Amino acid sequence: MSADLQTVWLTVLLASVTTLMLLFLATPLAWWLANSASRLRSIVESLVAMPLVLPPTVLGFYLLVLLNPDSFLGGLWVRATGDSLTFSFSGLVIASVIYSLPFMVQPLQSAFRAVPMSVRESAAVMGASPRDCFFSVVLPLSRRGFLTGMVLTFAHTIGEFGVVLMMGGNIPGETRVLSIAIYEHVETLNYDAAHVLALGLMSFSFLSLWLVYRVAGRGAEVVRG
Amino acid sequence: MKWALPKVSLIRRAVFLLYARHDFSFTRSGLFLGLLLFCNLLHSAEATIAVAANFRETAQAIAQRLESTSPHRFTIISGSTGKLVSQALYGAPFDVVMAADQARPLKLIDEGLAAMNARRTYALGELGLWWPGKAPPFGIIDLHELSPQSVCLANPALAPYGAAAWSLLERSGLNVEWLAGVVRVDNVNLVAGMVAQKQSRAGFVARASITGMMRKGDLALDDQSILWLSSEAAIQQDLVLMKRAEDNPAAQWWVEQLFEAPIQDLLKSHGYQLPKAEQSQ
Amino acid sequence: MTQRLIIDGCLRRSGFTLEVQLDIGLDQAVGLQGATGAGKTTLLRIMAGLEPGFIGRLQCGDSVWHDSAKGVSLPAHLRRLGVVFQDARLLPGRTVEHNLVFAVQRSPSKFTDLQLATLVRDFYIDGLLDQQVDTLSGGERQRVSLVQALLTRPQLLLLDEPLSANDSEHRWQVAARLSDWLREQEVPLIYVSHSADELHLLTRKILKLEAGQIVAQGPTSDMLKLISAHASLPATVLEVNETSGRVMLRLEQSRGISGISGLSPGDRICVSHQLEQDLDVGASLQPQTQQDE
Repeated sequence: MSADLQTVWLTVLLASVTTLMLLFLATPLAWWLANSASRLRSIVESLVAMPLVLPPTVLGFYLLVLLNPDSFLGGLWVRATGDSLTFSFSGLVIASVIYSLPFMVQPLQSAFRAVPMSVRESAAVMGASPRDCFFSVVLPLSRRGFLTGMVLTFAHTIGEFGVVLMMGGNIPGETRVLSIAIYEHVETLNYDAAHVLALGLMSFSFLSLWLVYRVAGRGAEVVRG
Repeated sequence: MKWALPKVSLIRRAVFLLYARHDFSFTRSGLFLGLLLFCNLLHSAEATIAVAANFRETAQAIAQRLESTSPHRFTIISGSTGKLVSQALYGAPFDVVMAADQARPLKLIDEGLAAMNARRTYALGELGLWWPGKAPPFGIIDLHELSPQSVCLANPALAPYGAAAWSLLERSGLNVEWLAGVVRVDNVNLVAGMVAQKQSRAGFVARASITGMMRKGDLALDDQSILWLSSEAAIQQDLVLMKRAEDNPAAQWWVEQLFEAPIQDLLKSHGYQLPKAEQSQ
Repeated sequence: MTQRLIIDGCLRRSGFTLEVQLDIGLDQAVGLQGATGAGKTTLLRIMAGLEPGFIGRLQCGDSVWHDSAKGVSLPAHLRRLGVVFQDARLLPGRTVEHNLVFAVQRSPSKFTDLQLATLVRDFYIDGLLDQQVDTLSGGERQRVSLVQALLTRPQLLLLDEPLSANDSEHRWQVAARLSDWLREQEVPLIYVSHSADELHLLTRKILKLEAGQIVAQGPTSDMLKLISAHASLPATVLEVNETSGRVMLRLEQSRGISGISGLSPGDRICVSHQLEQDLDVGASLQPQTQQDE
């Protein structure tokens, strides 16, 4: 049982770290996407959305190729830390960040877009620099987008399987996350343990989605400039 | 009339600082890398032993025994041999790889992940065709009585037991179309499970799986429903000590103890034959 | 200080082109007049720096705010303007107080509590401070927006029909207060309105826009094309005689009638009035043959 607890803890840690990182990475990206008129935008939007349609095994495979100790990036990591990036927790974090990227970027982008230009102009003429405007006007008005993005990213990372299977392996305390543990329990005919974990995961996913739809979906109070 | 200016919360200030400095990039990437490197410190096991699926329970028993008589700690990772070796090639942190064949350890040596003299045969496994309810004597050719979907073996591409089973099937005279419908599962342990759960009518199992099930009391076995195939298909199981573990005392000790009497007895009780005093190549 | 506002350039959009050559002193408040779609709002936006498509030169006083040829463009938040847009945009989901504080925080100068309180009272928003901005009426929003603009201590005030949603009850008072404030603070003003009365009260010069071009400019009274003066005349009603329809008025002495031209002592004029519910009676003077007392 304590092995399963370790699995749960590892999974929660992975999801938390991923969500935190994506918060910092996705916000400027989403802001740029929301405001940009350049031709690059559609390319970037497609790239960001790829993890939504790509089979996770494809992503896992390419990450294996890119990050294994014999590759350039993987080699750098080995030289820095002595350990391989593949089949490690850090590698999983990288994989999860890419895998859940659209789940953070898209809600943020929509939320930023929904901030009326009129309000931003008004703030600007009152003396708010673009940075000031972002923090004092746009961010507070985008709170729901942030909530949605964070909950979806967290829940999505908790449910990650294909990518982890490909480049995470099943190393207890390192890469053995909930979905992998369930898979292993089924493989070893340990159905009781599988039930416990699977039902728990299902309830969690439901609760997160309900949270998103109930709280963040209350966009009925329309923001009018 | 009160004119309390709204206090800018601490979190907002921190976020602002993080972003406002260096134009969104420098501090953030520093944090990113820092977090990644920190996560790296979560590593805890002393020695990571990757074992072929059929050896899983045996390895866990060995680990238990060795941990109780030493300060070393072991993490057992199991899977089909092919999968484990593939992961090792892509950087998985295994210290010892215990395969179910000889070819894959050789591959690891070829790729430079293990030294030439680090390979040893640690056990001889046995393949059997388990067909509950079938009255003996029977042969592989009799399988044609069943639909291929109810016959199960480990994936020959990944599992040496499966490869051995497959070559037997091909040589048995069963027709090719029939063979194409046979069910392949990820590793040889699953085969025993499938048959025990009646999801398959017959399957090519490892002796170790059967012994394990009998030990757990999951199976009251009448030997007659298993056709042992050691004469036709000998499964020679080799291990390698990986280069990365050459300075790892826990890993070294594991390999040493494997060939000492107490562990050898354990192996026998789990259904393995011991290799004749073989020279390490 | 005779600050001059110099604009020379054009803005092209699909279906509409604005071309303007302008060099006016800002010592006197300027009005902008024209039909809907003539480009008044666009011109204000160009001055505020909100139209990136503007090609040309824009200079206010000594600083060049925009020069396409040299690639210079001062961003909107550095121009120190006060702008009230037609749609009176406020920060949604916040209270009125928060909105005003937002402006104060970004103002270059400080306000004492008394100054703030006075301003709030003068513009009739003192009961609204704790209300959510989304629950305000159109007129209230405009007044809050106006106070916001004043709180930023602008060096130039741009107002785009800032009183259009206010009922007549408030319109005159607010316009009058604004006029006082502008005089006090010596802030130049550019005022867009359809209302001749407001223009007359607040501005001394008027530019007339038509289809993206300035077609005329001149002193307010001339531009409003009155044969004679048109002024707002605060007075107190002393007596009302229902049968004869006569109304006795006492004109408030402290407020002189200004902006009238073409009258001399002895002229007979006609006072036509709009009766308001309040103490003030708005009235306009036109030289005619009768005078009602």
